[in-house]
Amino acid sequence: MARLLLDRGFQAVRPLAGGFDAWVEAGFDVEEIDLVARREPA
Amino acid sequence: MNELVAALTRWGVPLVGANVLLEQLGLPIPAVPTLVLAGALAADGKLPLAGLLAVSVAASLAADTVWFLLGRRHGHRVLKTLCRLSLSPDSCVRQTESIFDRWGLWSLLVAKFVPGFSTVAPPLAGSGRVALAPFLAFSAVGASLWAGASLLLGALFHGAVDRILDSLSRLGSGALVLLVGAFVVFLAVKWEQRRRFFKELRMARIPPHELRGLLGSDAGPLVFDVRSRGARHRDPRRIPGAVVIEVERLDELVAALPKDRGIVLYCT
Repeated sequence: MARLLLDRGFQAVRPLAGGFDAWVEAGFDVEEIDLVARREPA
Repeated sequence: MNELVAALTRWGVPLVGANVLLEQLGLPIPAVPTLVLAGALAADGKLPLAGLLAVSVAASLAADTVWFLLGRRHGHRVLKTLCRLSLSPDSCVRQTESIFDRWGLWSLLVAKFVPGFSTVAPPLAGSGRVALAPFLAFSAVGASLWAGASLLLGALFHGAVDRILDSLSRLGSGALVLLVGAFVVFLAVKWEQRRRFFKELRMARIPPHELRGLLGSDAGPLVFDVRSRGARHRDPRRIPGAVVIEVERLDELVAALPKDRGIVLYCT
């Protein structure tokens, strides 16, 4: 995805080191995603 | 080289089994060339076609079962480890998850034909709610299609394969050096691509504490949650304010953004 954005001309694209797991493990805030509102079947 | 063909004729079935097993366990030892060669030798009556197919499917299932059980036990961490070791890490977890989300167990029928997917799909199935029996059934059919196609290819073109073997035989021991050299070059090229990719990632990545410091400020970046649909269902949370985005809708979502806008994206 980062490469797709870079290909489209965005210059300041940075992936999060360690991904979402690293964010959660660091104990930082998270919020719920409303999957029903997004109409995402399980 | 004649010795190599003689050895293949003598030990062909266990050699093919070992090659398939090691490849499916994740080692960068391509099994398709061996299967094609074995298929050609089978067409010449030097190896049993049914035995080759049976041992290939059994070896593939054994490796798949190991990864499936590791995925079931250790969950998503196995995928991360696999992709870190992969020679094509840039197309690893997210791509695999997207394929698996869309096609489920049916994706296992073609998994062996997709580079990178064949090793990652079993732990992905294991980390989900897939039962072992249907997983093994689909894996067995997928392995049969993959090994069968490669063997059939060798059998159909056994004349051409035989001519290549004859040419290599005339080169004597030089042929072995040539083959080993080609394999080493293949590994070196893949390794260099992998090294560059990780170097690029290391330079560009933002640590969580730095992102947290930027969130809420005027100069704060846009945060995109680019996890697969399956990953979001396993953990339906996000970084506060992150925009959940699907690759199919990328252009629509970013069309109005200035090109110098800071963007941070995250997977699992």
